[in-house]
Amino acid sequence: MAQMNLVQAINDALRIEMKRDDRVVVMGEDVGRVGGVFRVTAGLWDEFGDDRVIDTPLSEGGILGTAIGMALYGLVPVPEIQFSDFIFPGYDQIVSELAKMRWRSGGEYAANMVIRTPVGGGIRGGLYHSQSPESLFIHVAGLKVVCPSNPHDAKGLLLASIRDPDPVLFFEPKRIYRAARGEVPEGDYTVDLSKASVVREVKESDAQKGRAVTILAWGAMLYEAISAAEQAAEQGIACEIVDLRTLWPLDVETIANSVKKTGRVIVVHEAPKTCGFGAELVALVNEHCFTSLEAPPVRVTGFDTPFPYTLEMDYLPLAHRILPAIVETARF
Amino acid sequence: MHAGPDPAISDEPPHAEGSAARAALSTGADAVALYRHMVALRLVSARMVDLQRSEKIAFHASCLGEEAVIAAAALAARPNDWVFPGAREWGAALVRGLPLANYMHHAFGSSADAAKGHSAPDHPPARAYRVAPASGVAGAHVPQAVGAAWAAKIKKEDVATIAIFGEGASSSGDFHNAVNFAGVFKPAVVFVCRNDGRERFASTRERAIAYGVASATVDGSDALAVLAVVRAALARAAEGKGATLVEAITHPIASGSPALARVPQEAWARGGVELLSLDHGANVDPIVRLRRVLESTQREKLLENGADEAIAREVRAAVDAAVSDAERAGPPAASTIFDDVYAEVPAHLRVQKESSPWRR
Repeated sequence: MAQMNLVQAINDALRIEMKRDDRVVVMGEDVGRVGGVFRVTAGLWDEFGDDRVIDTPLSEGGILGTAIGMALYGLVPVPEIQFSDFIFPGYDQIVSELAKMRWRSGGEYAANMVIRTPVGGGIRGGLYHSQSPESLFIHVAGLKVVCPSNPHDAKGLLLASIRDPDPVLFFEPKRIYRAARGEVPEGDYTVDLSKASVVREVKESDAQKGRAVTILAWGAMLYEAISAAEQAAEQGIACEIVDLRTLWPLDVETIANSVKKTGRVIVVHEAPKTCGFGAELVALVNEHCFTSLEAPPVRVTGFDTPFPYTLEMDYLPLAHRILPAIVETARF
Repeated sequence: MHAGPDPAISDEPPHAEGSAARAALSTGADAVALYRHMVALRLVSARMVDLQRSEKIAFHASCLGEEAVIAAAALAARPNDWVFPGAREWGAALVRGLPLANYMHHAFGSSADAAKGHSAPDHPPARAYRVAPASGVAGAHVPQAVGAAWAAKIKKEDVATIAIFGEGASSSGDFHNAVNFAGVFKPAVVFVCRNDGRERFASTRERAIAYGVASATVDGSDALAVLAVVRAALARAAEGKGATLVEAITHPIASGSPALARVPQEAWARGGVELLSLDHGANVDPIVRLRRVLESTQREKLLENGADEAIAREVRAAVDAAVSDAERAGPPAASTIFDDVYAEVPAHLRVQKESSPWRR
């Protein structure tokens, strides 16, 4: 196994799939000669050439509109939107076209493609290079939404996404593009979509002592949750952490099993609180685990404001904001 | 790959005018086939206008007066080419071979509708005929037509796409994205714009020129001219010369106009032939125009006396049968709402499907 960061793992997945399946085409702003603004597609243009690694005009609507046409024809495009903040000029093509293609044609047509896009804050990117718009896509029927937190999952989830028959929004947490390092198997493997991962487990016996909390997180905030959990452990509070990995369709079972065990749940995400994915997660926890709950579910999230430039570390739901929530929830 | 727009292309439009090109590109058989398709679209659309007025269907995008552009563009497409219509160009699917019964089941959203009642009338799925599913968003299909043609180019297949839309759609961002990408990557795509002059802007053709895409203007009431110019654009595309925009000047007959207000039901009952002459002497009804050509062709008389009656009788019988079948079929089962959202029904939809009390 090789040590890789997130960028290298995603690059590896793209290379493997482009070699395996000549229908796969990478396209986007500066993804070719430059190798992408974060270098995720570095080297692919040299290896696969102009026809399969395409530098496009600066037009997200054009990138996504033409990619859908390619997919209708039978290619498997993997367009990159340089920052997920820039996805909105192409939002209509995703919502009105891509998501509904299969449904509106009674299954005659489908557009199998993966939209890769960096997400989240913490890189001094300001309000147009830092947002987390995942819930705007989860809300749209017909899309799948993925957000890996580590190189192993990123590679396996991307390979699974490209092979999936449905359109996938693949959000890459850019704050940990290089910081998240780990063992990545060589060659081909997939990580199941719709399967969450329990990255920190609470023993049943510890849970029964009544001082355990489930934390639901994904992407870069997973590491903040882990950091808060380590500090909470010093205060005798055990945290079980579920990395959702695929946000939609959701692995409700893994979440419910954890919350039934701990009786307490905290959701952490960067996006604004109101109508963020945390709202849906809390609703689902209520539906599935109401009688197991020992405390009100809590959301630790970005604020209901635009994303700030200089104050980004005050906006983000970092460990210093998660820890008090853990303590309060455990004491409730 | 990133060659910039080549202004020279704009000086090299396919020639629509000129009877030589027309004669070379259109045979008598083409002309008769085109005429029959146009008559079918006219009669179907008139009937649909009436069905909408009587609230049997919720929506119809009339193509009255614009049959020539839609039928000629679809007929120009080679068997392996793809057509990307908007809602008003539903007739393209019929020209490409979609059975009228399928179109009507779709319009009624019946249990036999291929789209299972999911979409509105005039967006019929027709994959077997290489017709893409129309969007409800004007212009949204235009960049998709570019992408499909681009994919064919990447796969080195001699396949072109034809996107048909109205001039309103040519003000959408999607149109500009499409023509921009077409100018840069030169896929084999033909943009066919019906322009009835309702939008206040300089011609669509000028927009194409700005992006380095070849263009031509054609009289949209002259069916043979449209057929010739779209074929010339396809030939140009097959030579690797890239995209062409064809701006067809049209004269739609408003479905609420006095000419039609009294017509559909009564005219239908009288056989429908009077629906085939709606221009009131203005010389813009494409059916009247083509009939005149067919009747006056010197070398052979392409249209027999009384042919209109026979064609109308045939189309009318098919429409009546299709309407009656679609009405009788009834709506699809409620649970089919959950079909085709994803390739497989995911758990959360299975729960909604299984736990909802249905009206019937």
